[in-house]
Amino acid sequence: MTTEPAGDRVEERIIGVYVEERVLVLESDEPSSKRGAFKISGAVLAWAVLGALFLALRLGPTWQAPVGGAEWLHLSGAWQARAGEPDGRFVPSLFQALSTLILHISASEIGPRIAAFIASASIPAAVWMLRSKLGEAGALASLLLVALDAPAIAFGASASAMGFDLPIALWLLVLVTRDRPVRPWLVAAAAFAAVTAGPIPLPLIAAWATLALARGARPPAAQWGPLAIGAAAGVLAASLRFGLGFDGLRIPAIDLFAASFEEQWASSSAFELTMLYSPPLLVAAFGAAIGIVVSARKGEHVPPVAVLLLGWFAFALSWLLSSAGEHTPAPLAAVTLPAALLAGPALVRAFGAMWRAEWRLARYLVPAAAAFLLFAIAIIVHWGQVDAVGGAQDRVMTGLLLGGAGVAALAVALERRAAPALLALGLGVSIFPVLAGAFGVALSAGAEPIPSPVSPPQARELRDLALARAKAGGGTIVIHPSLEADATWPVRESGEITVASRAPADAAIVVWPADLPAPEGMVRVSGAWSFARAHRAPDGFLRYVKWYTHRNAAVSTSVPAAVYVGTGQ
Amino acid sequence: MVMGVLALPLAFVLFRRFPDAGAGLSFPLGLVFAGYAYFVLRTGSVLPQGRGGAILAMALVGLASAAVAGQDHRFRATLSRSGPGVLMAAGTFTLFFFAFVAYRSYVPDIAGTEQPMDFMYLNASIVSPEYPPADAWLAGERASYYYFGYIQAGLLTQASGVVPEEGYNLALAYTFAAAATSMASVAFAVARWALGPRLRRWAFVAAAASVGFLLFVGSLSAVFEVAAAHGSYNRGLYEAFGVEWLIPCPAPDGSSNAADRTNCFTGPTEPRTTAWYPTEFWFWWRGSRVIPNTITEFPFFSFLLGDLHPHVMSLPLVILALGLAASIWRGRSLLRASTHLAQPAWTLGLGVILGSLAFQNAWDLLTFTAVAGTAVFLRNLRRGPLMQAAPATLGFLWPVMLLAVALYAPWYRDFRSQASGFYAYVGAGTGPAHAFLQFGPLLLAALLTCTWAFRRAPAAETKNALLLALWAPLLPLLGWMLLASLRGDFGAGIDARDPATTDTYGLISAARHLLSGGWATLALYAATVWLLTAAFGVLVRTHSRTAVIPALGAVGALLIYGAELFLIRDVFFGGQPRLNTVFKLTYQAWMLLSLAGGVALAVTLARLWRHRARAAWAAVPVAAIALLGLVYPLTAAANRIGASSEPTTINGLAFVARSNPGEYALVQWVRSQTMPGDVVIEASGRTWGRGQDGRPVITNAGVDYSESARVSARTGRPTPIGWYFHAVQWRGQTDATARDLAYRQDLVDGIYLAADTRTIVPSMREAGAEYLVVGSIENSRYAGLMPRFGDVLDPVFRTESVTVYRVPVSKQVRTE
Repeated sequence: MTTEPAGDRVEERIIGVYVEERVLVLESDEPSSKRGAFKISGAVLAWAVLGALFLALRLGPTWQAPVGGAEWLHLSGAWQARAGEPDGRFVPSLFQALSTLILHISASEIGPRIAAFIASASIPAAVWMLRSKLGEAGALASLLLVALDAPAIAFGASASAMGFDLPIALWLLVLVTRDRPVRPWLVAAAAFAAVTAGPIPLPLIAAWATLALARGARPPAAQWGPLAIGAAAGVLAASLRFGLGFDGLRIPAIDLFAASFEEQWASSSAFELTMLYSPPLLVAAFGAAIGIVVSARKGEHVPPVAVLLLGWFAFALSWLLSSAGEHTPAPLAAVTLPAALLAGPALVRAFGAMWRAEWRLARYLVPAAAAFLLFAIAIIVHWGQVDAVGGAQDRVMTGLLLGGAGVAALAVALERRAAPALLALGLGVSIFPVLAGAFGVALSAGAEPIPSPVSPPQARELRDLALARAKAGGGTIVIHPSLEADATWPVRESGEITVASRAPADAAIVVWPADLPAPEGMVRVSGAWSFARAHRAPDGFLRYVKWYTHRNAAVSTSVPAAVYVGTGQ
Repeated sequence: MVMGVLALPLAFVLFRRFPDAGAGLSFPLGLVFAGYAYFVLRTGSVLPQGRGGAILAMALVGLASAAVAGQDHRFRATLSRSGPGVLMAAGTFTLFFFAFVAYRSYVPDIAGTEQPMDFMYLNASIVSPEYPPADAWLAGERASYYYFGYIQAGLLTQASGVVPEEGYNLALAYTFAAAATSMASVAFAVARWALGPRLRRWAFVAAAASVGFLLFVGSLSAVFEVAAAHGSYNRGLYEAFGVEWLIPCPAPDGSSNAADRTNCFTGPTEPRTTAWYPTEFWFWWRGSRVIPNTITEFPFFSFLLGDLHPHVMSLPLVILALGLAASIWRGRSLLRASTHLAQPAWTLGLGVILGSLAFQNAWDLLTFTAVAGTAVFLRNLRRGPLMQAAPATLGFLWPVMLLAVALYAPWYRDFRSQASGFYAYVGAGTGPAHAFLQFGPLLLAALLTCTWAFRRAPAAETKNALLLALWAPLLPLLGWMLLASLRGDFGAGIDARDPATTDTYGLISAARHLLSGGWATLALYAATVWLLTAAFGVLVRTHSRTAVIPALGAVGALLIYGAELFLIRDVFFGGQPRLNTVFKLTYQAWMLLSLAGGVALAVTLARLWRHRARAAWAAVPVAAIALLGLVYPLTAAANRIGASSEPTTINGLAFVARSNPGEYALVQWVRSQTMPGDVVIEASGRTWGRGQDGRPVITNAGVDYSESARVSARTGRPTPIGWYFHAVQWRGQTDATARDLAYRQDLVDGIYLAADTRTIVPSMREAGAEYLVVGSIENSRYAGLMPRFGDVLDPVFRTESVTVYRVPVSKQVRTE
């Protein structure tokens, strides 16, 4: 296998930006120069690798993550709809309807998750479609950022009612930035998808609409009909709950947007989750946004797609900021796509600048700053492990190390031509939390603050025990109303159960809040039972450091339940 | 602030001729549009309840603004031109907002007067699961009140993510700041137009004076309050001004009869304060009751008190409507029916704004749509003769009015007005002294117009105008005579205003009596209306840009005059027949006269500045009287803040957390653990004791202005019955209403007094209720009479002083 340049435009020193100009030539029987040689360009390889990474990181959550957060709520709603008793947890999004359908085939959460996974698998393709707007390297970088983004991973394989949201948002972007006219059926499908999706595409729709209105632009007359038909069909389908019965006028995107403020979709607040998982991406996106604004102020041409991305990012960020105190990861997931699409090309440009930077001084100072920083971090990590700030000597040492790192970085920053070299330091600092978050969510989601709270496997064991008791001794399974919502998913496929605040006489087994007195005439079954477990974000900097280095150190809490059986059993 | 920015492009289109391009009016403008979008889309079940719905409604205003900006080819130029105005508006709003927040942090409690009622409507507008919002004090019924202000306050509360008890106080601060900013914007614009290019720097004086008149000037009675509190008073002077109730009663020396002791201060005779201001508890309350048997509230009093009432929240909206009228008047093209076809979005905007006047404070609809209609007419009159202007005006107005009503149809469907007739007022009128104390500064300021209005006009023109303007005061008087005659009250009406009694002691005394009677006041009001109308006529005839000033003043004076002659019959008709009429109409007059007076003062000063002696002759006394009007705000604010000893906060329920932690925990629990539409049973408010036969008997039936229905007020969860008399006011005084309210009271009391606990659950189901509260209020209202609820209900929340019970749950659930 050999590598050779193709054409005159090869720029080997700028990795990434012109990577598409390199080709990989696989060995064949014929001479390489002959027609029919099987060639794979470096770009294709990069797309393939990143696509595979993207999918691989979402496989774990699809198969093994516990049901949690919004997914728990919506799967419960889908299950109740499947059982013929839809309640408020059933939000008639397209994905929720599909989940209900899939649950008819299999009672496992994996079925709906596979649907979400398949939809997410189209994201690399959508980003690929955007390469003419973002640049090949920029698109690749954006894909890498999306692939490694922990909230996007969690959402990408989640069977919440927003399971299709990320791909729909991205495909809508592809559609509205297309240079060629969009076919009517595609317009109708997009309108249908937008109306029956969750809230994550809303910031994009708002940005697109605002820009179009502010520019006085209108969709071509020929597209109004398909747009209206698609939207009306979406509203009709949602209002009819996709065949489950009329429920008044429903627009799932709006319902779920509102629910993101009212319901508990996470154990930690959006602000806390942002601090845990997204600072590097947001900092990069902010940098990119500032760059675009500065370019515009200078009178330079800013491509329309960049303006749209900026607007999308602004709307998504507004949602995130207004939800800072709410327990929801949805706005964080919503900000991921525009942030990544903004940051990707900007990072490539920055990388190029770093490559071209004057390294004569920086080649000593940047590693020195990194070394100082590393030592300081090592000390802080130790403090995190023991959950206490060290003595005066340690503090002075840490201060000196941080100061040294700062001085070294400042010295580089002051030299204009050397300043881009600092990106190396930034990348070095950022890469670890990004990878830790991505792999934490991808490989051991059950211990992460996202998704949380989760339905523990133990809840299903409790359901098996209850069924066995009821079958052996007759009588009904009784669950207290305060546990009803948490119990819906683990207690599925259990026949008819009783939800009651007072244990009826024919109760075979009673699941009760642990803090309530035992029902009369019943004895407690030993064991620590629970229907819900939560991993909260670490509170305080040292706890965060500890959690960062020791992922299982997150504070875990459970809502205890007590199980009672009749004395005769 | 976000709302103001979002609405800027809309303001630019509506108020392009304003120096700030309407930036100062963008705050109420944005909120009105967002509130309307929220109301309509929630009624149509498009927007869900909660913060997300509020944010989406605001985002829709942003989209509308983007659309308008996209169509407006002058947007960039307007933005560039109005930059300083935009910054001024933002600065003024910020200053007034934080100033009020600072004040309110000393007195944040949502307690007393009708604040629990306001809080109930605010909470109901936020949490009501369905729209139009539910009446939380009458479970199962929709609200029947003008509650648009609460929707807007709820919108701001939700969008900013604060709890309602903070939102309440912040909504007051918003109203204060938006009123100041809007008034400054309109006054500045009108003054700039009136002053012309040479004198336009005086427009700042107009803005400052108008804001001062509107938000700071108060009743002159405070001057007498201060002197009386310090023990420095002249009894004759106090009696002449009709404020003898502020000074101690004369010593019973045998010469004074009993009547002398019924209208005087019955407290200590020695000075009542050692501070520079009166320290007597709530002395400032009396400033809002200067004219006997009426409410003479004015904006400063409203903000000082802190009731989040519709008439307070409507201040920015009314000024917005005035600004709209000014903008229409200033425009050039002829307005007719076909204008709507050319500018449908503008028509929609007019419909939303004018229609919201009724929804926000029904009293404002007629007055301010009439002002807007007059503006349309005057504009058309500039474009053509009367015979062209009149039909064009009618053609333009009727679609707008139709739209203004149609747009708010869901509200009209549920609204029951308590007004039940239009009557001639035949009681004792207002004394001139009281009229002066209450409206003196504003009327005098507006009358400054007359110092220059007639100067340049030809004598014949002036004479004609004066003659024609006579109809302005005469027509209402004739109407009064007709109405009074029709009801057979004419003679009584004549006599009632005549103060002449048998005890006349000579000519001076007789003159004093005559001057202290209702007829004298009527004559003064009529003269004011006449002069201002004549001034307006002259200025219109001479095509003066200042004509709008006496026009606004004349309408304001006419409102005060009208409140002296007529009344709207309501539930207070028996005891205080014109209580609400005087209150609501003079409040409107205050706004109009503030604008007219502020601008008139600035124009007068500007015109006379070169002739300072003449300026001193005219403007200085008025300014001095206006300055006396500032005694009220200074002393009242000092009194209110000085009485506060608690830590500062803007949480309106902090006092509950301090004084009754159990009740506070109850509020938090109900908010977090019950669904918004869940009906909660709490004390009806009637107090029960044990009769001689051992059976429960009512010992106190009064429930209004008490802490009854406090859970509902603080959480928005419906309860079967709240404040009884307020429900009568909102629903009308009919037998059906009385029966329903009595049934609800009996149902609730029946639950708390159940002799047989088996009746409790069926009664709760009958009330549609799921929860029952037993807290400090219930323990006081049903002391020793309550059954053991735990036998039949599940306790779901318990503190030392409060228990919440829930109807037992039992249901079968399919899981496959």
